[in-house]
Amino acid sequence: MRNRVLFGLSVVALVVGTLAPMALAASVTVRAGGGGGGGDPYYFNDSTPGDNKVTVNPGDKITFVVDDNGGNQAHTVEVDAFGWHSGSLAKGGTYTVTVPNQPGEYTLYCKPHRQRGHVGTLVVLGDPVTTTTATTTTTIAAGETITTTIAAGETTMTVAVDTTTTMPGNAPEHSNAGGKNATTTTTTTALLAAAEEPGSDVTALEVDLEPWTRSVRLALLGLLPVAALALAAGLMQRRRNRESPAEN
Amino acid sequence: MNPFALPVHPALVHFPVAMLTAAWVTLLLRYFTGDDKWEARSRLFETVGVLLLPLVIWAGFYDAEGLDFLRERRWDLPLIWHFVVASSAALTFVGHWLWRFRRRALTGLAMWVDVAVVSLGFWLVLFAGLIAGEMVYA
Repeated sequence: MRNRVLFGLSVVALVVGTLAPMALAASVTVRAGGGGGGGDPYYFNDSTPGDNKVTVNPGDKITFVVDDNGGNQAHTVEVDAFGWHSGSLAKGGTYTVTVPNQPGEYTLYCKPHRQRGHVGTLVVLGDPVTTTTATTTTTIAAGETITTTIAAGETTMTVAVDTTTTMPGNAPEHSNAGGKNATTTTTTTALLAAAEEPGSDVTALEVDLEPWTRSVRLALLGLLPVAALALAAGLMQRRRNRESPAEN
Repeated sequence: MNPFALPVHPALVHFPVAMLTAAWVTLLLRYFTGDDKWEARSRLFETVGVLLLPLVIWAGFYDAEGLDFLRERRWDLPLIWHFVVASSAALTFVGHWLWRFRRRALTGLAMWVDVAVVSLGFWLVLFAGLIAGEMVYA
């Protein structure tokens, strides 16, 4: 009887312990919109509107709701760090995501209206990322391959023979193809995920310079035929002027 | 003013672009063929294009209302570069159009300046269009 009670209590504790974090996770609604013919300001508004900041906790479920058609192009919801890409959302469209356990500040933006200022900040609350470093030295025998298993939340930096290589997030293989023993040093760091630097200007519009390079290259390419035609026309007229100066 | 809630500048800008492009083409034809009729046609196209410029420039500012890209001097935005290049194109054509009122025979250096300035204006229009394309399609 006593064992049954203890077993039952254990099951209850297990269930509560599993569900509690989920119960603590909140549902957050964020309204997005702006633009249109009237030139209304763009926004991402949570329960504290006006600052274009969305503040959430890890595990929260965010539902983005689009308030309008966004003028000539519908809105989208993008957070590159988490791979959130909603696709085109018309008026009334929704996009629901769950916040990962990655505290920090991230850029939240609408892709077609980003250049017009439809950018906000997604703030994921929580303890800042801490890193700890431990160093171990492993000797790999000639011809031997070692596969390192990385525990959840951990990453391993691998050091090849006589060189140092960093491969965060991978399960690297240390392979020694040489004819003699080699020594590698692995450094294990506790790492969450790549996050933007705290305090960075996440509201600044990030510019991809590649399109600029493309435009300039194409423009310079276009300069050649334009200049060639102009030169040809001028030379023809000059020849005509020389042949018949009175007429021209 | 804008019952369709659509940007007006992309719709209107094609008119002066077409006119000024035609002005460049017909000016080249004038020099290729030596026929003065092309000169008159070129001046007509350029006149229409230049007269449409104020409306199109106003439409650009109307569509960009609220961005303050000039006041804040956001040199990282393609929009400001589109404005700079397009304005340069407009000024080039306006300057050339005013210069053409002199009506003197175009020979020697004046001829080279004539064809070079219009070609430069056309190329700047092309460049501004490329940047605009990046803004829309990138």
